[in-house]
Amino acid sequence: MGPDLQTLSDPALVVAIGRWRPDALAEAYRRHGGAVFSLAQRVLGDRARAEDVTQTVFTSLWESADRFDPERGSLRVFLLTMGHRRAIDMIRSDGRRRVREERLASQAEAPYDLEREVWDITVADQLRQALGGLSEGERQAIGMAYFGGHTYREVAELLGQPEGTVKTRIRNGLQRLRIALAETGVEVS
Amino acid sequence: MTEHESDMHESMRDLVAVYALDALEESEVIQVEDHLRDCPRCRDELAAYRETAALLAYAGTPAPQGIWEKISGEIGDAGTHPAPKLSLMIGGQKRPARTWALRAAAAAAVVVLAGTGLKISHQDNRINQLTSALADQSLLRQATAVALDPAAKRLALTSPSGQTQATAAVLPDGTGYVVSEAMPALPAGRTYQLWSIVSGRAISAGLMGSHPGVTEFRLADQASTLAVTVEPAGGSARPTSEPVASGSV
Repeated sequence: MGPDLQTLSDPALVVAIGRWRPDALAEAYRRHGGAVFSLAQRVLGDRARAEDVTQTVFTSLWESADRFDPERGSLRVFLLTMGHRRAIDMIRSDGRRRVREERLASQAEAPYDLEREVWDITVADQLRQALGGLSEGERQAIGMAYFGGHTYREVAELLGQPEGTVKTRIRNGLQRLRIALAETGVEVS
Repeated sequence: MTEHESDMHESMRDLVAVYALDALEESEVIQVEDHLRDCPRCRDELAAYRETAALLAYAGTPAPQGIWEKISGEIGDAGTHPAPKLSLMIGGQKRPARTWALRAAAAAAVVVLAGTGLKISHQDNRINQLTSALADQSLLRQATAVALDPAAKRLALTSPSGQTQATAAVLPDGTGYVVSEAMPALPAGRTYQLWSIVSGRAISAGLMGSHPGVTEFRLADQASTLAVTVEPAGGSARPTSEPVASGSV
């Protein structure tokens, strides 16, 4: 492996991480650490806990680089998926129940605004456009679930809608987003 | 598909989308994960949903430096790292399972590089590498599955001086895979050959080639030892040299 890690593809970088090269892990962190951290922070609303999540994600990439299968998706998606789940686990753990109820209450007063959530991101324009193609209900359901950390049942309860409707909206919304984003050529690096 | 089954599948597809956002009720997660194992179509959908969700999460913000310092502190000295769990290796060695992971990832990386239209200077050689990397990868999958099978026996093949040359995993039916760890490439016209040793007799268990990676073999019934010798290309009916590595079964 040459010294220039910055030119390596993500899968090649993971190979180097597999060889226990800390500089390769540092490069992976440089590429994707910001995304993992900011998603965790959005979900948790707490910087310290988001830092913990980010740390866990990258140390587990170090420990088990072999879990990443490049055929199943990009490294960034892999890391974000891991980080999101970790953040959600934190929210749902028993000790957090009270906080969660408070969150539920405040959510009910101020429904999730997915457009605002993604306002400050690099691909904001295309995303806004793609989000514009979603119905209000789809946007709300996806935002409350993904960024708000609510289960679909909680979303249904908060919005006063049938659970089946919420599930279908999540699926239809994600499908529509995917098609719209593919048309604008946005891709996960 | 009956109407009922089709309804079931439809409702499962909703759940897969919800699962991609980690928004299922805890009691439903296992049900969906079971379904995903059996349904390649839903797995593809899940991958697509996750990618879409990742786009929503897209952030141009740089990675905070303070977190890297913690990570860096936690991973510590790479040399003292404990052996990963999913391992073919037997004891004493450092970083066993990495060999597996590494080869799979390396194979994938080669394909990725090839896909970018990277200039290929030694084309024949490159194509050979690519082909063997791909073959290795699917062999590796099977080999990994065997290595993880609780019924499999794992053994290290060591040189007379005690160095591990290769590791092997064998199922009760005799199907086995051997992975070279440190076997040097042989000159043209030579090959490594595997032998089952049964009551002092050597029975060929297969050829490993001159530059071994992952090799499938069949261990004879009642074999006490698995051994490797260097033989003329094409292999020998009986070993013509002393084993370069062996391990007892």
